[in-house]
Amino acid sequence: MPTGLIALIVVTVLVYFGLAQRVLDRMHLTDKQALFFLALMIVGAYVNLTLWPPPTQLVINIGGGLVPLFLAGYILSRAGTQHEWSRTALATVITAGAVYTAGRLLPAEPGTMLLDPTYVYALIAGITGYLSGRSRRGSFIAATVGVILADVIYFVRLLATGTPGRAAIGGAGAYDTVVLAGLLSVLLVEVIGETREKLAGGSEEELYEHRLRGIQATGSGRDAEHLRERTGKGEGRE
Amino acid sequence: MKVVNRHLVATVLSLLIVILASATTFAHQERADGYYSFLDPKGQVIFQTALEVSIGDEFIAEDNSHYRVTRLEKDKAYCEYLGKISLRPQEEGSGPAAWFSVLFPFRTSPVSAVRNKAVAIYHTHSDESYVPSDGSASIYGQGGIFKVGRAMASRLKQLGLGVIHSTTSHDPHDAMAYTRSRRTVAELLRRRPAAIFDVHRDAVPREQYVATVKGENVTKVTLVVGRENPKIKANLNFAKQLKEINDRENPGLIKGIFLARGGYNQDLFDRALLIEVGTHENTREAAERGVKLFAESVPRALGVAGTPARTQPAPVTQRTGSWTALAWTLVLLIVGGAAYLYLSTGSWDELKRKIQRFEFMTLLGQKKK
Repeated sequence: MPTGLIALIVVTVLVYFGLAQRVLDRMHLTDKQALFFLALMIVGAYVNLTLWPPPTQLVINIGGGLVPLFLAGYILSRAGTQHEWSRTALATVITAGAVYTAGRLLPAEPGTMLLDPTYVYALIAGITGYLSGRSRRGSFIAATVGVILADVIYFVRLLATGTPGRAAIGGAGAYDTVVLAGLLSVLLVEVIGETREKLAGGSEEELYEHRLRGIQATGSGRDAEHLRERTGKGEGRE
Repeated sequence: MKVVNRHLVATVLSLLIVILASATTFAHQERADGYYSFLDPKGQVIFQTALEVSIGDEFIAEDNSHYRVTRLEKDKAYCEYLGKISLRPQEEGSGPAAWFSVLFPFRTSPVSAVRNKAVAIYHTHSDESYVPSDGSASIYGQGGIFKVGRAMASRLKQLGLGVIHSTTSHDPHDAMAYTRSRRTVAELLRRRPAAIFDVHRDAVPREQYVATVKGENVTKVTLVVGRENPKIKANLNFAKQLKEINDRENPGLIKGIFLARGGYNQDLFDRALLIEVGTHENTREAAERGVKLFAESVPRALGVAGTPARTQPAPVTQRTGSWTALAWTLVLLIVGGAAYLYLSTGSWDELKRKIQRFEFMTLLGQKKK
């Protein structure tokens, strides 16, 4: 069974049994919405939409490209603050740059890398997304849209040089780097966030959340923003 | 300002990761500067390849001698000899996978299930070409390798098999090429082929691939199986079947089986193989003749050949190795889950207490009621 599909099934099982609820809460998703999107990714993997005709072709796979893109947009639309929008946009551009640059600089043969290209790009996108986004929402959006943007850059390059070729965004569907990068980025935030919290003793985090909730309850969004800036926290826990 | 600084740090770290993730950077192309020579314990050259080589890579030579790379020094790969290998398909063996095979014996897929299906061919390195015939070792987007793929396709068609030959370009010949060709593979797999071949050519001196088989001047063929791939067992079994048939019917055609680091998108399918047909210094015509001979062994390996095998019946079933992959996934999931639970609770005692009380929901994030 291919890695991407295994990952999706594992995630589906976790969501189904309610085990990923905290993660989904932070991403402003309900269990049902998450299952709906996961099902769409698996089923949609069989359909490609042509966006630009040959000889320099651009296609987008519904399961591997369009659904993750739509999901990223949906999560961002629910996220809210201007600060989060701009931070996520910057994180996405950085991720796209890192993935594209890695593609140009890394050696062509998979044997030279620590990992197979499929995981290397997902890992680069996941880590860059995490470092620049620092939230589950930000990381997921940066990783998925970043990989998609890297494909768009490739397409633009083909078009600009008049080279026949094909950019297939998320073309491998559930097995594609887009999907793996999205899942990996959320996993990284969860595991690294959890580890950092443990190393820090955990209490500070809870205290922060407690205080943030208290401020939000009194209706002062600016204070909450200020607290987030001042403590440097919150980004890792969204 | 603080946000900008953090993004700068993120960018620098990302670039560091990029550099650390590779042994050599700025190497867009295959090794144009040279190739690796595999040396046996006596110092004899047993194999040469322009593919990247890592410690732990294995090579099954023409005579089925099995070697493993233990040390790398510049262009030399020192190997240990592991004995002669059997080309009979490997059973699932012991370990977690064996339990699944016992529990679900129906999972072994009969080769007869692949009847009436097509063989898919594509080219990750669509620029690869043959200097004497094509004038260059690399022709962007339309390499001579497409013609070698076409020769293989036409022979398979003559033998009565359906063929899907993708001529999609995945150039430039850079690190993203396999990520791009992964999409082509996924698309080809939607048409449910019986086998899928990624056709390449090597870049070592021509003598390495020169052969005379059945009176014809041809190039040899190397079968490449990715080691970082959950389907390695199934892919290797397929490679061994092809080698066994060719060793019998086209002796000297198969140079060997190279188990290389990397996945080569072979995780997507049980019967996925990368083949190196000749080298850039051979003529393309010799490569076309070589790949045609190789194509003749494909129907037999898939169990759809008209004539029965002479010395050994075609295998009735073949183990796919999928259960091994699933077993490993489950093992990793359990180990990863345990590590995550440990991190969440902070101590083994607390973890034990939570497990005894079955407090998984609170442990994994559901709010306490």
